[in-house]
Formats: sequence, structure tokens, C-alpha cells
Amino acid sequence: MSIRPLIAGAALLCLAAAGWQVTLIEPGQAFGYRAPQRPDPAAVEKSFADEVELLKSGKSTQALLSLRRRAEKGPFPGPALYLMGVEAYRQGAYSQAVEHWQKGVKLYPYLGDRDAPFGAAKRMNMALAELKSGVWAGKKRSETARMHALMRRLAGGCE
Amino acid sequence: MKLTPEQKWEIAAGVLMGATGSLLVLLGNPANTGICVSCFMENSVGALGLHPDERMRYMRPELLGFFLGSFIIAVGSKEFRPRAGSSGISGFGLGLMMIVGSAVFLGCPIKALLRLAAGDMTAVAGVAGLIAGVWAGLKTLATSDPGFEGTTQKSSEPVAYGIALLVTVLAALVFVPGVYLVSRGGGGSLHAPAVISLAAGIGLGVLCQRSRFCITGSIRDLLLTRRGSMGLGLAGAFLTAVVLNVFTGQFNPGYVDQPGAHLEWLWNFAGLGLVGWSAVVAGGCPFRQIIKAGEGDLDAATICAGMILGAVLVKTWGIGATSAGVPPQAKAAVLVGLAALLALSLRRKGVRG
Repeated sequence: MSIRPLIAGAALLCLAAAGWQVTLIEPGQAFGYRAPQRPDPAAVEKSFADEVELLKSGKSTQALLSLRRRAEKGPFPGPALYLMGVEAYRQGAYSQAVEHWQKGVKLYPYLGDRDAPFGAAKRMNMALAELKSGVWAGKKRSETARMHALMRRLAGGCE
Repeated sequence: MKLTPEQKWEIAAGVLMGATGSLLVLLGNPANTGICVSCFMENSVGALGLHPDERMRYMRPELLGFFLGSFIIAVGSKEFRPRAGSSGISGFGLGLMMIVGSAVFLGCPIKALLRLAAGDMTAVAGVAGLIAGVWAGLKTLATSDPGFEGTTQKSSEPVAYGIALLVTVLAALVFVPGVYLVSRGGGGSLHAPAVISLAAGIGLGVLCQRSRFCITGSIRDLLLTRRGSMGLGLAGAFLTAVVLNVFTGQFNPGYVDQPGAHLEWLWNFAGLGLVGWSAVVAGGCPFRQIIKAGEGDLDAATICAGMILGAVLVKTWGIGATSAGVPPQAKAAVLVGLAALLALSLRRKGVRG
């Protein structure tokens, strides 16, 4: 018996599956992806001086309101999400912290670099290592998927 | 066991590949990316401004070195023969698919080996896919005529020498600041000193031209002959990389936290499966195509041109994976590639036109 019909069927199946995947593409994720420009890390830190001051003086609600506004409308939504994550982590809301960090790194990939503003990469790495060996040590992999994805991203390698 | 001269060359090439793969990371290349043709292609086309990702811009001297090493030794040993067959657009397409598949796995076949040698267990699915792809490629060649293995004819010398001149100029310009675009962050900003990278690339180009060493070629020969001696180069590369990684603290066995990797094993399998299948039909993995182009093989140069377009599209259209996973557009691209190879397998032997 010839296997040619089977091969033709498999090819058509692949094309149909490809078509299905195309329907899942989020707007803006294909055809024209643009990585964000990298401003001077010091300039990014300076632009968040007020929010950092508020956080230091314990006025976290005010700081978070401002950070949330910047996470939605900018400027620098990625670093704003990073700082929201730091505050969430401090308050023990670990899942939320990891979610903020992951979104932040996606929006502003330079947060994962060695010379990131706020020493973000080093700080996130330390916090994630703490989580992995501490309170999240016994959790299922499905529950810590975000954390591991972020750890892989921060571990470097070709992007 | 008495080794033939070819086997000795192959072992030397494998050992140098493993050593280079490990040591270039120590000297500054991204983690687990001492050598990776697809990553380097993406970086290099970025350095020429051909894609918009400013984190992936660096003219990788290793890539140019592979070609130059092969060219120098081929000319020196009178093996430089400008030639071309009938690959044309199908070769171009195969080159494109090899880079798309590699981008979904996050690395070419050499990097798959190096990731495994660094303890990255996510590469296991990729290597399994690569073997399956090579097997499928062999079946394609055995049962059908993909229209690729045409008669090779002597071809225009000026074109072959012109390509060599172009690559030489590109390599020289690496040392002139400000010519190429460079990344200020991300993978493109991480690199070993350019002189060392170029020297390593030339050394590998020389040895791999002499030995004809190729990852997919070795797997193909192992599957065809079932003789372990066909995998001496592979074993040399893997063991050298493992030993050096252990001694330099770069061996981190694990699955979930590996650098430049994702956990979608099915797409790791399919991505490198596409690469293995394309590579066997095309007559060599992405690395081998560069070496063959250095020998004057203009079919291989056409495949390299396809690889360059693949690298541009991967970054411009986002059809590669990230550490977070594989986006739908990348899955669609792999599936289209597999469909194309299946369609190629339908061509009956002896029917042309």
C-alpha cells in the first residue's frame, strides 16, 4: 500500500494546524515587533525618585497609585512594574510580585541585564532564589511556572 | 581500534568544537551559546540593521571565521571548487526553515549539543527531535526526489571568489568601530573578545573543512551504518564540552531554570525535527552549509542566503521562541515548514519538471 496519501494527509494536517495557530496570534505580536529603546539606567532611576522616596518613607499606598498609573500610561511602564513587584514581595504577596516582574521584564527587557536600573536583575535573582529554596520549595511546578520562566529569562543566554 | 586519517580529523574537529563552545562562554558569549549558528545569524543581521530588535545586534566574528577558515584551507589544499547544482529556490527555502526551526528550539544543532553538555535537560527533547528529523530526511531521500540532488556543475569562479572577498571585508570591518550596529544590552551585548572569536571560528572552519564534520551528518551516518565509529566527532565535542563545563563551573544540571531555554518540549522536538529534516535534504546542518560555501559550493551559499532571510524574519515577525515559551506565529511557521517537507517528500523519483 502506498504511503503517499498518508504523507499528503499529514501535510494538510500541518497546514490546518498552522492556520489554527495563526488565529491565536495576539495583535502586535507578529509582523513588526519592536524592542523598546534602552535609555540610560540612571535616567530611569531618576524618573522614579518620587515613588522610591514614598516607598522609603512608608507611604506605599501613594507610591503604588503612582506606579500603577505609570505601569498603565508610562513613562517607563516596565520599571514601574518592577518597583510594584518589589513592594509586593516586601508585603509577602509573592505570586503578585513574580507576575509584576515578569510583565516588567517583558515590557522592558533591559531589567534583566547586569547594568539594569535599580540593580533589578540582581535583586530579582536573589528574591527568586529565596522563594525557590524557601516558601515555594514544596510547590508544584505548575504553580511556580512564572517564577521558573522568569529565572530562565534572567539566567541569560541568547534571546 | 585503528583510526583512519578522516576519523582523526573528525575527532580533532569535535574536540575543538566542544572546547570553543565552552570557553567562548567563559570569555563573554551568552550562557550556553559558545557556538550557535542561528543565534549568531540573528545577531549579525541585526548588526547590519536588518531587524528591529536592538538587543540582538553584534557582527559575530565566529560566523565569518567559519567561512574564512574553510576558504583558506580549501584554497591551500586545492579543494576550492566553485560549483553549483540545481537547488535554487528549494535550497533557499531549506536554509530559511533551518533557522526558523532553530529559533523555536532556541539554538542550532551545535547549540543543542552544547546545551546538553551544560546540563540543560530541556535540550533532550530537541536532540530527540533532531534525530527524528534526520531519520525523516533519510526516508525522504530514499523514497522520493525532493528535487535537490541535481548534477553539480563547475560554476562561475568570480562569484565564489567574490563571496569570499565580501566575507573577508565583513570580518575586517568587525575591528573598525562604528561600522556595525551594536547592542547595549541583552544577548547581543555579550561576547568574547573579537580577535579570539575570529581565531576560534577560523580554527573550526579549517578543521571542519578537512574532516567534513557536521552534527546532522554524523547522526545521519550513525543511522545509516549503525557503526559507533561514525559518531567520534560528536562524542569528542560532547565530552570535551562536558569536561570543560564541569571544570569551569558552567555545568548546571536541571530542567526548569536553564538559560535561553523554554519548557515546551513538543516544540523543542518539532523545531529541531524541522532542522534535522531540512539539513539532511540540504546535505548538511547550518554550520556545514557555511563550511561548504567556503569551499566554493554555491548551492550552500544559496542555503546560507535562505538562512540569512530566516534570521531576519525570526526577529522581524517574532517567529522564534523566548524563555517564556513559543508564540503561535512560531508554531505556525514550524508547521508550515513541516508541511513543505512532507510535500517535498511526495515527489516521485524520476519525475522532474
